[in-house]
Amino acid sequence: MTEVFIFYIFAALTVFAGLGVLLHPNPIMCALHLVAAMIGIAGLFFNLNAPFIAAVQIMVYAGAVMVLFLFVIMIFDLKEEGRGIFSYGALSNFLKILFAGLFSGLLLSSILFKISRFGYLIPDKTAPQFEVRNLAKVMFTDYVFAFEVLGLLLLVIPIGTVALSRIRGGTHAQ
Amino acid sequence: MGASGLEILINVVKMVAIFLLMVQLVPILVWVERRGSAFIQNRFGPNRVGPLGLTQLLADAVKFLFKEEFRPPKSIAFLYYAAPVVAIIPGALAFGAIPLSAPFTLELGGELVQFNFQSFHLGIGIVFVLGISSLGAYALLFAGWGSGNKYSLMGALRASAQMISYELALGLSIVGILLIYGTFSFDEMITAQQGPLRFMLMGKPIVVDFLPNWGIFYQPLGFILFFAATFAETNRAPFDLPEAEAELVAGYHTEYGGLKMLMFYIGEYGHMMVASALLVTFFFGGWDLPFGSEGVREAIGSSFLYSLVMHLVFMGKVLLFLWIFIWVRWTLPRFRYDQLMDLGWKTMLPWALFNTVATAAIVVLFNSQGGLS
Amino acid sequence: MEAIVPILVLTLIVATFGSLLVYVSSILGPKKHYTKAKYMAYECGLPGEESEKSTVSVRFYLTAILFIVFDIEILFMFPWALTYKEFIAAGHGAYIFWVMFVFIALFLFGLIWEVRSKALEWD
Repeated sequence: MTEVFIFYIFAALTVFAGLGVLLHPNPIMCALHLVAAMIGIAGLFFNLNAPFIAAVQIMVYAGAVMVLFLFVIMIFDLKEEGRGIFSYGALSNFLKILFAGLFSGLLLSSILFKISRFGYLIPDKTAPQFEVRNLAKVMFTDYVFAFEVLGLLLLVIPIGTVALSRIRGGTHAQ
Repeated sequence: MGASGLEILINVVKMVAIFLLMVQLVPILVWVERRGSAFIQNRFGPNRVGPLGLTQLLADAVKFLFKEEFRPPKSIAFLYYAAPVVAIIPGALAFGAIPLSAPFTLELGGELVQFNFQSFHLGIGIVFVLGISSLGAYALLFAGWGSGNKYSLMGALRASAQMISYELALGLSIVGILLIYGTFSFDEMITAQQGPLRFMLMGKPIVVDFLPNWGIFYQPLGFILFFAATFAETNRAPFDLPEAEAELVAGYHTEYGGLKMLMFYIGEYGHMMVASALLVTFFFGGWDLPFGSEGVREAIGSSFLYSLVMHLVFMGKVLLFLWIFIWVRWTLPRFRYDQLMDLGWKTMLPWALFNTVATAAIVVLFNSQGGLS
Repeated sequence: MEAIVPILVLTLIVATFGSLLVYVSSILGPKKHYTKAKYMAYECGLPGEESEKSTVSVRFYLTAILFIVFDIEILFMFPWALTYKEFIAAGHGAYIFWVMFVFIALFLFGLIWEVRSKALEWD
């Protein structure tokens, strides 16, 4: 009973924060609403007995990615964009909600199709509980090759970022 | 009200008491900081109000309450008012997850119920504390952007860049601790640190009778890295670049005054308390009194009183570290910003990586027969 | 699942406490009276002229993106460190050590690249 109640609290937080991301004219406020949405999703993970995933969600998305977004928004002066047709007024809000609605409709219909086809959505209560130890055992035995490739992928990101920031015209141009 | 209602009541009371303990420590720490800095600089410090100036902070708090409410016209109202509130939440939540003493049992309605001496008990203790602390940057960004002042914004940006840079060294030094204890839970860590120092060397058990089994003997380099990184995370001197008054006035809280300013202070001291409590839990045995816990338990008998005594032991250790935080602030000069970033990325991060690999290698060499091949 | 209720309750208590402090001080304080200087953005003695929403250095962006990458790598080490002794007890100590050694070598290679390419220079 409690878990249903808490699910609705966090679901409402996530949905309203998501609407805030869409509808707020100021890009900084949009980013802050996205932070709230991330915290809501972390709460949902916590409610599903996966506290480690919840903490990782907060650390990576709310603590790192959103700080990057805020820095990026502050780097570019977004006043000109703020005056565009897609930022203010009933028309732009209508368009935003329309496209977001179309996208979530697509998502929802695919989920409903999957349920009608395979008939599962509610997690199996008899399945083993999520444990970080089990995750680690699977990750470092069966998927160890994928894990090392991931290390390589994470190496590519900083190299690419630095290379991009050094091309002509950037502040790191040589 | 049945036993379970009483249980919920006790849990809520416990939660409020721990939060108030944290808030109540702030005026004492401010007093210690002012008297201590005066002592270090050969001055008197506040000594007029009350004995030794102890009630000075009470007078200050009353003054803060009656300050004029002010909001700069260029500020964003919601962010400006939310920032001080957001500043105290991460510290309070993280402090609530740390066990402050031994769990105690009470008899409620004929049955024994066990209570943990913390606001909430989590199996993933460390990861929760790290996750919640990573949200600490938002109070700064709220204040910096919401004030509508360029000094606030620059201070907030510097502070958040500094916090995220040192979070890497902090996280990596925790990996070394996890390698030693093999658990996320604070309780299991404290249990592992009880008794005399003992470890396996090439399959043979070795016991050193005169030393406690504390983490600092296993992770000396990890301790130094963790300690230095917490100074940067709490924005304390010598890492207090965000409020370098010669360049940035007062950093992200330039436009704040009165009680709202005081709440940023509560947040800062809250982070310091969390950092000290983590240091004590990881490296100094938590609430355990070395070579004395069992004796005290037998001498006292009552489970609740025993918890209280052990809590005093824990707070003693924490206060020692808080004093070191204050001592360092009034001893070391401030870094320059490029030195700060160099220290974080080019010195502490490589050393933390080295510490992780070295700890892993030593754990394998000491615990298994085959070695590294 | 049980632990989230106390976390929410504590968040609520702290937020209420904080909001109450802000609200109480706004009631008890003296009433505002307008002066031009008081309501200007803080500046060191000069009338403020520059826009407060000035742009920031690209280095903050570089720092943040490098932080994300290294933060994810460190988070992958957490489950590894958690189960390290269990792998040793099962007799796979050398295996689990070299698995992470390769990963850390890649991490270190990225860090050395950053330092050599002067992406982490602040001047």
